[in-house]
Amino acid sequence: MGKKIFLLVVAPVLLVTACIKIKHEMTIQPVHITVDVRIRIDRELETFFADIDKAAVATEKDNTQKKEELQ
Amino acid sequence: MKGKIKITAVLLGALFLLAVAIQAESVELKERFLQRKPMLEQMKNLEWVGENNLGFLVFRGETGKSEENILIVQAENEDRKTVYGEIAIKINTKIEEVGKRRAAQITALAAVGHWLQDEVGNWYQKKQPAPL
Repeated sequence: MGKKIFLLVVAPVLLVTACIKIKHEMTIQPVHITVDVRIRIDRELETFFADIDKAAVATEKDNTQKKEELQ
Repeated sequence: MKGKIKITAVLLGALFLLAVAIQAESVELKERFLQRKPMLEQMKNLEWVGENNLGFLVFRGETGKSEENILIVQAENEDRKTVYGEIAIKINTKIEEVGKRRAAQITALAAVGHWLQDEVGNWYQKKQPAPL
């Protein structure tokens, strides 16, 4: 008798819990991907343009006469 | 068996030559950027050209728009497009994204008085940073 009551109580509880769906939200992933892409782009750009950007300051000082040429 | 080895050797040789060619192209590109740099800096100082928000140079108006200067700006933009394109392919992203990131770098490096375009599309002159 006790077993029957126990089963009558436990069975519905088990059925209800079995029907619970867990939904996983993965909205953070695209943000991570965007940041990762930006970092990679920046790294590639810095690698390519590093020498050119550094040279800019030096050449700017050395080539003031170019201004007259342009005008 | 020998045929397979020959094919592998030929493929490896071709890959090596391709890598050398790409490297040489990259060196040539850098040299061209460096050659144009002084002229472009002067054009920026004279406020003839500005840097847009896609990483390219544009004339601010009709001043300084000589045939020679137009060719210099066009050549610079073509080479920039090549670099952005190569990076975009390498990272598997859009060329516009690369251009936008470069525009942000250019903005940070720009000298005071140079014309820049913000993300919304408004033009402004870089100001002296506020003293701490």
